[in-house]
Amino acid sequence: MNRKKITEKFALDAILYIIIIYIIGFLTFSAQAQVIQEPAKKEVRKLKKGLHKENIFDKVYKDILKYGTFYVAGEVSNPYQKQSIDYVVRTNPSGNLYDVPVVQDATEYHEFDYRYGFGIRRIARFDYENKEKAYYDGTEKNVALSSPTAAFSGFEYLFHWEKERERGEVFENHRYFLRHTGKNHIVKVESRAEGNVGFQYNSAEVRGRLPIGKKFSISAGVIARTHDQAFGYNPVEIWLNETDEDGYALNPWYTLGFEYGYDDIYYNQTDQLGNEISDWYWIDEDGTIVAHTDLEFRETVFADLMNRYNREQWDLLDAFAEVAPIVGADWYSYTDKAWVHAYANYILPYHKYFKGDEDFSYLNRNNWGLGGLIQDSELEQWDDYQFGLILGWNITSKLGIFVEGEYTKFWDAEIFKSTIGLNIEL
Amino acid sequence: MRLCILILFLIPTLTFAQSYKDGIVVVQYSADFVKANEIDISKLEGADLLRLAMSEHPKIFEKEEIKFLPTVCLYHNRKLILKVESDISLKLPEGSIDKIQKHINKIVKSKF
Repeated sequence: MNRKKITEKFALDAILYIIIIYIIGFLTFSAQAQVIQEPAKKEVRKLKKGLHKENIFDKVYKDILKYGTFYVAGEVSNPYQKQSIDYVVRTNPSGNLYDVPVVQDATEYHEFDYRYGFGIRRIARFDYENKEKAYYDGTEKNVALSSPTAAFSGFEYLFHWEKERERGEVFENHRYFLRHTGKNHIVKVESRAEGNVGFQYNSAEVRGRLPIGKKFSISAGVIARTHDQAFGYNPVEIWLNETDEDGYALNPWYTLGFEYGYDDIYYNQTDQLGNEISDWYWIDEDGTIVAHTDLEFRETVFADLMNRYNREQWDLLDAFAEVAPIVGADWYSYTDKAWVHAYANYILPYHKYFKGDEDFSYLNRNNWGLGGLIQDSELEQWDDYQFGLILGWNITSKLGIFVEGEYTKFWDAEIFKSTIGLNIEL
Repeated sequence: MRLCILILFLIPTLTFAQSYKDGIVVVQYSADFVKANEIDISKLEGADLLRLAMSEHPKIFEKEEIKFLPTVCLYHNRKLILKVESDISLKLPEGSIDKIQKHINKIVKSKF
């Protein structure tokens, strides 16, 4: 079974489980042996909120700013430090290779790590989530940022920017998130960048929402997303595999070195046994020897050049943006004794690119061969999905179990995390 | 393995009962003969609002131990947070709305 089939099977199983939960949830709704008769929907007079006259500033405060928190935060910590210390030997300052060498500490020491940033947030936590700290500093992770529906109706937002230094490298990160959840709609815009992993993602979605009872809702709409990567396109592989009519390589591997200013110089020598040895040694633009043989060059400098070439070619491409239909479902039930939050998002295989060169898009991920894009190849649609489950059950006052997990498959990226556990209070 | 996962899903689900008291809910327990003494809970924000009439839901009144009419209760995830009862004149105390709103705000604030 190949990877695609395994993924599809896994997704189908997961969807099946979620459907079973929902069906059982519905069945229990009518099958519960309630001591009292619950008020039927039509019997209950649900009061409509009256229209109150209030000024615009009060309304803006109430709808947008109330419960929001502005924060500025910074932290400093020890840098990553290897447990062992590395040493190298240097030639004696006399210049004689056979004099006693100098032993030097070659361990890489980094300056301290830091992170500072600021933001404003108004993200409601679900009842099962605790506030991680007594304050906000921008490191919080909330389920509300990934589940289709929210723990609060109205505007929720997070605008966070930060700069950090990690192992001596400085990065900028941001997360901008804005969502408005109503009884019958979800509108969400998000932009995220993580400099240290080169992650950049933007999305916007609009969905109609249909609550079914108080705990369950389904939604459907459209989502626009961006991605930077040209999946399946490997420029250096194509470049190396270009051949002439006779099948000879047009771009022998070593010519990539010439492209980046390196040069090879032929030499031959005879060893003390009289054997003749010949090869090419490589120099950089300054004339410094970087490799003593072709093999050494290919295993060291050339490997970096390949990646550099690929990065440069990928950078020539614009970012991609596509739009597709999305459906989602969300089940949320909470009491102090037990809680379940299950959610799923499914992006249907009807993707339409509106930005970026479609030849290099994910629709052509399997259509690139050694000679480039295969002629007359068909565009291939795909499914993306995300689902999560948070479940807790305090079986007794001393015993509780919990399960938490989220799985996301977007393009070629699969991200998952899960936790399962048991708590026994002694 | 599949069975284990299914059981994990099912057990808590089966223990749940759908309830009108899920979330933040304000219920005005009343009866037609004291309708004039009800307070206008539609002014409250941040909660689901319900009016239950004694003639239609006598068992609920019994279960919730409603002894005075009207009575307004604030629930959060089925837990009773506040119970405001009318006095001998069948009127709810003055400032009841503000008092309930204050408690609702407190609950909503705790989510952020």
